[in-house]
Amino acid sequence: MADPASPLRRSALAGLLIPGDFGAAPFNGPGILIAERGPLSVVQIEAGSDDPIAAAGEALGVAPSSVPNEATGSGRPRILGTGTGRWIVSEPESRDLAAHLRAALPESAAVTGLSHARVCLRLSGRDARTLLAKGCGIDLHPDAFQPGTSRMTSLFHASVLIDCRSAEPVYDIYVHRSYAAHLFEMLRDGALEFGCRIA
Amino acid sequence: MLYIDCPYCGSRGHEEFTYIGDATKKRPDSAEKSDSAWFDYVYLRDNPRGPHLELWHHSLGCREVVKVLRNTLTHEILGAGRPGDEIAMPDAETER
Repeated sequence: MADPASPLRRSALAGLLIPGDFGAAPFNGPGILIAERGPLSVVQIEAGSDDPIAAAGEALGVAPSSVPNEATGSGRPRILGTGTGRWIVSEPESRDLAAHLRAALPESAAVTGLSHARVCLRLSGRDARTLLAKGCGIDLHPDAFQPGTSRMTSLFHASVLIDCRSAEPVYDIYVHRSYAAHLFEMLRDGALEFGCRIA
Repeated sequence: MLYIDCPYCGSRGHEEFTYIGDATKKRPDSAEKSDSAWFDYVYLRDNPRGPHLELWHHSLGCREVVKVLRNTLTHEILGAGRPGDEIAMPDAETER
């Protein structure tokens, strides 16, 4: 595991994500808030011939769900389904999560460390849904995309995993590292009309 | 926009998918030696008018292969499932 403060954990958005208020200045404050979450440990589990759910539940204190798109855990860790027999485990970096899972899961499961391969942007604010709708084709209505579920989809043509954390709304968007700058710029530019606070 | 009911993700627009092709073609046994069997599998395709079973890859979603029953004339999506699923052909009455 890399030391969180080492250059190895340099944010993909370093020099691009500049804190401040941008765009319109609505009287009731910015409609969009964007922040990068990290450093995170992000690990993918893929089931092999044995079901890894029970072993993962024991190792993590919270079990992955077998229900499609259902998220479990409150963040330490958060487990998101990304396909049949495949999950992403995410938590603030504090331990070698991949090694921990490798030791706990059945031999047939594939455990892949993605901490340095993903960027997580937290998008919130009263206009967050409208902003997502500019670049994403899924049903974003609060009744359709509820807290405690996630979606694999595309956002401004980048492949993303969107985790609905709360109905406020608050979304965590996981994107491949090399697409992070593109996605951040699209979100920021799309947010200017609502007023955008970057933290 | 065509909406495909992905078995994992639910209903999604077709721009999230990549078309693979005919789902009715069976790969010959690997011991098969006849060129014509392989030629048929690799190159020959029917081009039916009406319901057609095809494979679509959910490349911008769960990354799984989805079997789709699509009417090639009307573009109506008549059913979707996993590649091993049986997808019922519509009755002649419901066919348009």
